[in-house]
Amino acid sequence: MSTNPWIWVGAISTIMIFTYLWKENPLYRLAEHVFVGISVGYLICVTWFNVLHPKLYVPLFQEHQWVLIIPLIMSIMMLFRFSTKYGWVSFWPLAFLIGFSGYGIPASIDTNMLKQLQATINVSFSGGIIPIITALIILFGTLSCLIYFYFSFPHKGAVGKIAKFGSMLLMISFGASFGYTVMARISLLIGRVLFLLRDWLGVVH
Amino acid sequence: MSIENNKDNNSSNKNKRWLYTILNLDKRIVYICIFLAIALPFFLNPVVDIKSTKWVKSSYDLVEEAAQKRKPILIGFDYDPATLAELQPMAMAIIRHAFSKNVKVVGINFLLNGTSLAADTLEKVAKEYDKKYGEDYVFFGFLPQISVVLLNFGEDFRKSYKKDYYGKDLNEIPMLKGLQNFDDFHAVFCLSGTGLPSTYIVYGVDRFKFNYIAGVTAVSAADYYPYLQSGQMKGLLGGMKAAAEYEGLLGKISDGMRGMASQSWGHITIIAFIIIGNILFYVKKRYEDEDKEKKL
Repeated sequence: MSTNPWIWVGAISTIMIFTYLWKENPLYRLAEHVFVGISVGYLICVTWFNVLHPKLYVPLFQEHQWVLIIPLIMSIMMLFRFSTKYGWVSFWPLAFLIGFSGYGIPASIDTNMLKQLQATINVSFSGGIIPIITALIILFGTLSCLIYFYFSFPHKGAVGKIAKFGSMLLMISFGASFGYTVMARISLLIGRVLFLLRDWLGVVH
Repeated sequence: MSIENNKDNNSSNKNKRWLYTILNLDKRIVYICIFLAIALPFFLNPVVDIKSTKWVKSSYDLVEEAAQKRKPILIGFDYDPATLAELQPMAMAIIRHAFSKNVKVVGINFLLNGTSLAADTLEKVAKEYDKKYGEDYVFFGFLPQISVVLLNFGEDFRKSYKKDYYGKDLNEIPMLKGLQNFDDFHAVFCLSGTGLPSTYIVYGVDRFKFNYIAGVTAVSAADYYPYLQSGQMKGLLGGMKAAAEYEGLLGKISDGMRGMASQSWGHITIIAFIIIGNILFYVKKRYEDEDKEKKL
């Protein structure tokens, strides 16, 4: 069994959180509140030491880079969000942030749409039977899924059959996603169980 | 005749009672079963016979190439305690691989909650391979605004990072001499359970063209496959299974492989519950239909 007090803190916190599976109880509530409090405290510390101190405080107040007054003022304006009366002040820096986000729109379209479209059009029909089948699935799969979401024609006859094939592919994709989700949730439990059995109790090596 | 009918009714009622008892099974019993299915395999030998998938192998090969070309790799440790179980074994396997081949590692982080986790992970593996900070690995620490940082990184990372995580000037770190931007790294990894891996593609890969691999949680793995087909990603590590596969290629049993037996037993238990639940539901429906017929 571990002699490290921090491992004990981690183990007891884990068990306190797990008690929720039995039923809602004060131990779980306590652990939840402690977790939220510590997380916020940690975020504040890291933000100060990694961002605000080296990127704002030192350059502005020690190296006198006066241009940094602008982001400082905008940051302060953002804090007005907590006021119901002067909340509108925070809209100005927010507008700046949203405006800058617009920069990402063409880049996102290029990455997530144009490049994907290009890759689907340029599927290779060479390199053996398996790559050819894969290419066909990608090509017909994409088209049939698009037809499934195309409602200007009634889904009857050939269009209906293609749309049905598209919906079947979508179901397979949702099934795969759900399978991955189960795997992910079990992995999280594995992480905690391994921590309890190995790091805390020392019964597994 | 009436005695026989009574007997039939009694046995049918018993079956129904049994059926409804199981259908109304306390969910805590299910939790206990899952817990046991996860915990007990840790007392068995770990699963070591895991065949690696194409995309894990290509990720592994990129680190091998980095060793041949004597170029460093960049790792984005963008995970926090919530996804630690899946992404930490992955991170450790990659760093172990790099250090075992004398590949230098630079770490960055865009997820505030994972900053010290990343520093600890690098330090822990560095101790195993007797690697020195500043000569074999460096951790730049956390910065907000990933888009701006990645755009700067494509030109010169010193525009965003003046000092490392420990407050040391980057110009004083020997390992970083001659390193300037993405071109100087053979591969870039982003390990995250958030949407950050796709941000690397938007602001990094498509603009600056580098070998990029995403290490993601199993939940989000399916979302990243299209980027492989389009060539925007050279490899994909999805969940604990990918970590186990990487450990298999590396020949070092660690948390990924240790977890795979539990993963399999957990799946079997869930599948068993799904099958049993469906059978019972079918039987219940049949009883209900029979009752309706009797009433008519």
